[in-house]
Amino acid sequence: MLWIVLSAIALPAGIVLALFIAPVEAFQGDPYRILYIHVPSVVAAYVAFTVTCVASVLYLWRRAPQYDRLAASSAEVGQVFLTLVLLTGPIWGRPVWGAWWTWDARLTTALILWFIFAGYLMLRAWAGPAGAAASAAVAVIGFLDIPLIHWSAVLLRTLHPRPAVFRPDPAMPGSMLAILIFNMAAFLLTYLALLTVRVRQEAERARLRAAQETG
Amino acid sequence: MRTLLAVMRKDLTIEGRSRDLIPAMTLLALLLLALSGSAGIRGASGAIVIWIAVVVSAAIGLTRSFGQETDQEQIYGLRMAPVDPGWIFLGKSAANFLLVVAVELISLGAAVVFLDFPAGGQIAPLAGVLFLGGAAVVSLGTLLGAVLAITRLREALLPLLLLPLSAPAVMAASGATAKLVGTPPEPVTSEVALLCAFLTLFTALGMVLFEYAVED
Repeated sequence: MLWIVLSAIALPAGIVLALFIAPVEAFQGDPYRILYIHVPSVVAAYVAFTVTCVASVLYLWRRAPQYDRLAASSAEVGQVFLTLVLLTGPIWGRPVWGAWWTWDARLTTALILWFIFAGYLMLRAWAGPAGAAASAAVAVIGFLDIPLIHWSAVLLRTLHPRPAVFRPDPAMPGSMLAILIFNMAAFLLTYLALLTVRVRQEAERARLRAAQETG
Repeated sequence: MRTLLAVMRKDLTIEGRSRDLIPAMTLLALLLLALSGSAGIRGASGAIVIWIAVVVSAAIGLTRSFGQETDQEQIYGLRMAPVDPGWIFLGKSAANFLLVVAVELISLGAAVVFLDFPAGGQIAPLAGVLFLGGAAVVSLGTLLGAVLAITRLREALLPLLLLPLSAPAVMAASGATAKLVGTPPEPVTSEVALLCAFLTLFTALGMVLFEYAVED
């Protein structure tokens, strides 16, 4: 409940900051403001898939159903954020690069990752509870595949800006950086809120199924 | 090592008697190459068509590789055998690899005929890339086949997962194939390094995960 309340406050506040308080960027003008949604979504998606991978390893090792539920819920929420990344990216790219899409390393990696977790969620949907071990294995395979996908895409050329924030001297004025970090925190809170809701739903569903089976 | 050879011989004997896979995989690969040829793809850009044909037909073949183990629950017998499950995985991979190599050679021949693919001067390095890329796709595909063996609708799921997961191997292999037949041929060191990393990662992961994934 705490996460839901916090994210319900932080998310709209972050949008207001991004649209009205953050300064206009010198070269890109207003379209750059989509950065405040795009970058936090990327962070939330990768955090979510990391949680899925860790929970899947724990499930394969310990076989405790709560790890399976955590992995499934986190992957679902992560896929929502990754979809947001793939939708906001082209909207930003069109005015700034002059193209909706380009086969740059980061875009290619994000797109293939989206397909991998789409397949993972299909596996979840089709296999049901019997597919828990298979899903966990696929999550681990998919997560370990990410660096290889990125490597193979780097063999092509890269247009996407280099990371401006995650480095010792962030290449961004303090006012922009502060708002971006606020939005990252807001998106991570939203991730936690959605994750808690989904994990709780899955736990309830498992209890219901167990109750039905014992009659 | 004896386990590897025994499992591989078993799978190849089954294929030799039933002839289930090779005709289906080859037909699919030929079909894809013929369609691309009729759509006007010519020359070095045929490299990606060859690799799409290989990975799609591998996806079809690998579903059967473990399908034949689960039809009558033979997989539990295989799992109960007093041998290291990692070697069973390697044996299945080796048999699948030979099937995929057969499809690759036929695809390459068909690409030369249908797509004017200039394979001429570079046969030895091209064969190296075909073997390495084929092994990379097979290591991941065999692992996925094992993981999905007992799930419902595995025939639909395997291609859905194998295609995006093998994307780095397919991109590197087709990039290397295109570079080798270019004029002049370009070095393919980074592509080969990526394929080796892919092959090593998923072979090691397969040997470890095979035991856990086929447990239920």
